[in-house]
Amino acid sequence: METTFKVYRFDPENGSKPDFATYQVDLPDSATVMDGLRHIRDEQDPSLAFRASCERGSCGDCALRINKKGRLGCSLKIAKTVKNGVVTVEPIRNIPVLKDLVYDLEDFLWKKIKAVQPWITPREPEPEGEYVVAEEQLAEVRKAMSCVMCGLCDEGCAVIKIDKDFVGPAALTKAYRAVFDPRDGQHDERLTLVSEPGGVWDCTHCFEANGHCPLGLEPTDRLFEVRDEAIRQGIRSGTRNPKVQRHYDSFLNSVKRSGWLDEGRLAIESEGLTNIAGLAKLLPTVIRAIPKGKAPLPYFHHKRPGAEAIRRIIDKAQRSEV
Amino acid sequence: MLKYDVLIVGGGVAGLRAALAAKQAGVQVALLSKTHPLRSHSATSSDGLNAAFGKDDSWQQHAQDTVRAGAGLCDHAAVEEMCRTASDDIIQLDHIGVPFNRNTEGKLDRWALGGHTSPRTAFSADMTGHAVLNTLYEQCIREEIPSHEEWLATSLVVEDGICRGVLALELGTGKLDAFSASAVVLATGGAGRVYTPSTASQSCCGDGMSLAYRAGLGLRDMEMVQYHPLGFCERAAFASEGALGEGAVLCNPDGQPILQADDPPLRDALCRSLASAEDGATLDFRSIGKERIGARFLYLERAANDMAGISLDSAPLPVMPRMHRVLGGIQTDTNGATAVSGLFAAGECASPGVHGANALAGNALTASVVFGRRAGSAAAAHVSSIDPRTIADSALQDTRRTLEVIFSRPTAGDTVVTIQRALANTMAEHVGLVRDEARLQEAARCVADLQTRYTQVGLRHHGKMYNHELLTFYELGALLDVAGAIVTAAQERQESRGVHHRSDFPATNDAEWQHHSLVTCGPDGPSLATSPVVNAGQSA
Amino acid sequence: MKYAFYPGCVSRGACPELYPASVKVAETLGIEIEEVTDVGCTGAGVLSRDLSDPINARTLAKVEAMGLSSLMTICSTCQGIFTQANHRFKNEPEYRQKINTEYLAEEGLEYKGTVEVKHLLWVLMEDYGVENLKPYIKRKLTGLKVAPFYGCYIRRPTSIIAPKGLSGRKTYLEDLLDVLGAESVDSSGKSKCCGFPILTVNEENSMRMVSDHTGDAKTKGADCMVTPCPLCHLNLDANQPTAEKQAGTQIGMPIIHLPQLLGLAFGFDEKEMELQRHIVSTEAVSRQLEVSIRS
Repeated sequence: METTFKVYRFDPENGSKPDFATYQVDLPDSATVMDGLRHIRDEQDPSLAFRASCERGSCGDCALRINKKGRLGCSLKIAKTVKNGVVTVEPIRNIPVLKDLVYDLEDFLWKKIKAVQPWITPREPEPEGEYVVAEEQLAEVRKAMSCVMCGLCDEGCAVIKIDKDFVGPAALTKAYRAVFDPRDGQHDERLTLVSEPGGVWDCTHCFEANGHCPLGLEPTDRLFEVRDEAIRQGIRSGTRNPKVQRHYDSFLNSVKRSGWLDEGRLAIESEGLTNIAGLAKLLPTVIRAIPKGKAPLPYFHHKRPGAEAIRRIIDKAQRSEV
Repeated sequence: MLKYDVLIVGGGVAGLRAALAAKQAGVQVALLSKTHPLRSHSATSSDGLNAAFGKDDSWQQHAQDTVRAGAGLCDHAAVEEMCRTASDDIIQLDHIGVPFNRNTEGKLDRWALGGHTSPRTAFSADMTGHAVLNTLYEQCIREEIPSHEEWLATSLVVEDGICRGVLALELGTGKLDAFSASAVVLATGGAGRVYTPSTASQSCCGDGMSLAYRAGLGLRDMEMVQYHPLGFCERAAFASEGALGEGAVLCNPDGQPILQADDPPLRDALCRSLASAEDGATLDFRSIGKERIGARFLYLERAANDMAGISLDSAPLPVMPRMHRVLGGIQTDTNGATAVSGLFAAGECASPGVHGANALAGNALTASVVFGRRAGSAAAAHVSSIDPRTIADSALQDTRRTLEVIFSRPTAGDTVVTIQRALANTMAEHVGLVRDEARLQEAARCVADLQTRYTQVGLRHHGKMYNHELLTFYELGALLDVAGAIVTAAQERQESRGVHHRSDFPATNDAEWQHHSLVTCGPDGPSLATSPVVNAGQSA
Repeated sequence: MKYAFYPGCVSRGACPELYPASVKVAETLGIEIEEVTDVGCTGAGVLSRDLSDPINARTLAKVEAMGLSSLMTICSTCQGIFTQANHRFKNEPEYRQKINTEYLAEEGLEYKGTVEVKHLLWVLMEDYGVENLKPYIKRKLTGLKVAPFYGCYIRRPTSIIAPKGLSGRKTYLEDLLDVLGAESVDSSGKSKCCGFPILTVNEENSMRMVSDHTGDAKTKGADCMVTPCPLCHLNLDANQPTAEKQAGTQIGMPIIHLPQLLGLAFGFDEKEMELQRHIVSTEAVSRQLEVSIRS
């Protein structure tokens, strides 16, 4: 199959600006995009740089942006992605490029993986043999752990795009692995850690990550699980992220009291009732909203019918959480 | 110029395990690896870890099975060491988080793999290597073990028979540097790319075997090249042998089962029968059901889909034997120690003597864990016995000059890629599953010829950053060393034993050949010696 | 077909213009709706699923008790939370049963898993039929350049929001705008998060999203943005001045609720659609509509 490869090229050694180079490649129908790149490097242009290791979707080394979508180059056949005879290959986005298709994962991924401290500390009492745990408890841990650290979920993350310090779905999927491992002895500590600013609570849960994971590991859902587990443990804030705690408590209390959300109260309580500076910051928004009839009066909204039933549900659910 | 007590070269399972063991022993340890550790070939290991658990099995039985598979070439001390301690290693891996599959009692589930008399393979779906690699990596970052990634060790520094460290090339920058260490552990992995097709990752080029070989050490049992029966037809991927234990059926193109008995045969026999079946074979998972496939073949389900366009629950997967690994390697004792003081080796690059002439499924990863740990501990223990010495900067001069020479060679004719391709094709064609004198002679001639061409090959690309052609130049040098050793040993062994099958000498000849082959680097190329099998003939 | 109607908190709180606009549109089209009143907030993705799933199961059980099989929402967030929860209820019967037994039984309720939850947008495109809207269009929105803004929850997770067979949901807004005569402006953030969920936790990031989305729509030449989600509206509209300030730029991008845009096309005037309640002036929209009518 004849294909035109448009490949991102950047070589800081020769001082030129990033550009695309075009190569004609003729490979069998079964060829992958990685086969195409290797063919270009071996036969046409030995200066082309890219990473590739296992060649079978096990190691995550070859994450690339192929025809505008994050993919593993080794696991994608040319025939599946080619558009009008063209395959465009670029480095993943929002990351420093070192040379051509080689990019720097250090700050983007590896530091964040380390930041969630994803190692297991054997839970006490440490048994003599293996831990006796149900297969169901480990099945999802195993699946989360099958993550190949390609970084594509982070590449697609709407928050990382604007805030490179956000820990991101890849590291939080790694955290999931530890948080839900029944053998781990640092469950609460890790939840506190990932609840810090820049952690799980900075996620917008927009589900972008799910669409970007080439393994279908559903990172957003795992992140939700981590967050819900933090709520269960009552350490949703950590001591260093009190705003999260206040926001959650206020939302919860509002629904508990009236069955629905008291938005005015939520805004105020999230800042903290004694947080003068924070409350003052709200004022311009409130002042703009009042004349438009858009600022619901805090603490005055009415109970919905059914509020009592909802309160009972919440009370019961909270009891079973403990 | 960096200096450590112990330097581990290679970031796969054996390397990371060695690093943790050394760290635990209280020495200053660092990793140096060609790729990021998580990109290591260990991530593809899919069979599991072997150890005897429970009253129906014993480590002695595991040892017996191992020795039987090894067809008379196992060193019993090494086999016993591995089989006796593997259960502790597996338990420890469980405690630090390898998500081994559980049985209904919540204890380790086990696969029954070919050649094992009991089900004794603990597994984490068909991604055990990946799970162990990631778990060990987690512990390494916990221990804050320094890691030099994308560095290629280009030579060992050995002075007066004592290893002082390595010289290495930083792939991202082209910088050369010396890493001084009181002990070096080579854990650079296998050499699968010496064949094509193979199941090897891009990185499996026998780097460490070549480093040791050039430092004068012997490569043992190199003719023992194992094929994997369940390789994909067009990709390096392969199905875990656990598939057969789980009930997947190996069929001929008419859909008739190839294997009759419940007890799957050893890999070599299976590979030879598959290779002689002209129309290929398929592996049929359909009777296993989607749910169980999803739970136990996490990797294969996805890979079959992505790379073979097959949904395992609805169509059989075409498979073929692919060269899998060289069972031999750098000769070591059970502590991973080599004949060079301060130099240790573990994992696929090493030959502590557990595999002999054929390896049981799962024993390779098990050996990486057990002997990785032992090599790390032994290297750490070695530190106090040595007067540390820093590698002189002048040591880099030779390497710098070599680079200058390489870059100044003319680039007409051969490229490193054409030579590497010719080498891998030669090996597959002439030193494959079935060998004979004529083919081996042809192979020897080809390898020697390629070796000569290699000494003249020039590089088209002269950049410093991520110069893949330069990396290939080094890797090709290693692959040629490994190929030379394989061919030499295969030629010499005029019998059939384990995975080494010669059509001109189909019988096993214990009287003359029950010993290891040992290839060293002579002035005129590979030179063969033999070494006795330890405790040969005694039952474990 | 009759729908149970779940207006959500915001359509009667911080976006009080949304509720009447939605009701007017439904009345105009003859879509029969009956509001479920004695139910709770979906949890909006804030409350943990341990708490929100039983509350939402209760809502769906109430719909069944009304003898109805469809619940209409006018908020992407409500829609998303319901869809995700309902997916669990339908696919994990044991889980649903557990909630029924532990939480709903004492009220004599049981959720059998029969309800479909559909946003007004989906109701129009899938049940009502886009062709059937045409007779009601009194004022073609010709010349009005509208940037659709889906937000997250009406687009993802794709596997359950827009599964095979329903992948057309990815372009419903564009398809609808086409019928209304408006011109779709493709902005890069149309299916990205608006930033509302992290408004409290990380206002800076949230505001950056607002300025990015509204700024991009402006750059692409949009007269306004239209959204099916009042939370997107809150952030993009009410917080746009804050976002402008942080970004140090003037944007002034009007944000229109989907039912308002429909209402305008059906002949309601701006006042009836309560555009005056918006924080960012919608005058540019009115001006363009004047031009359209005259030409």
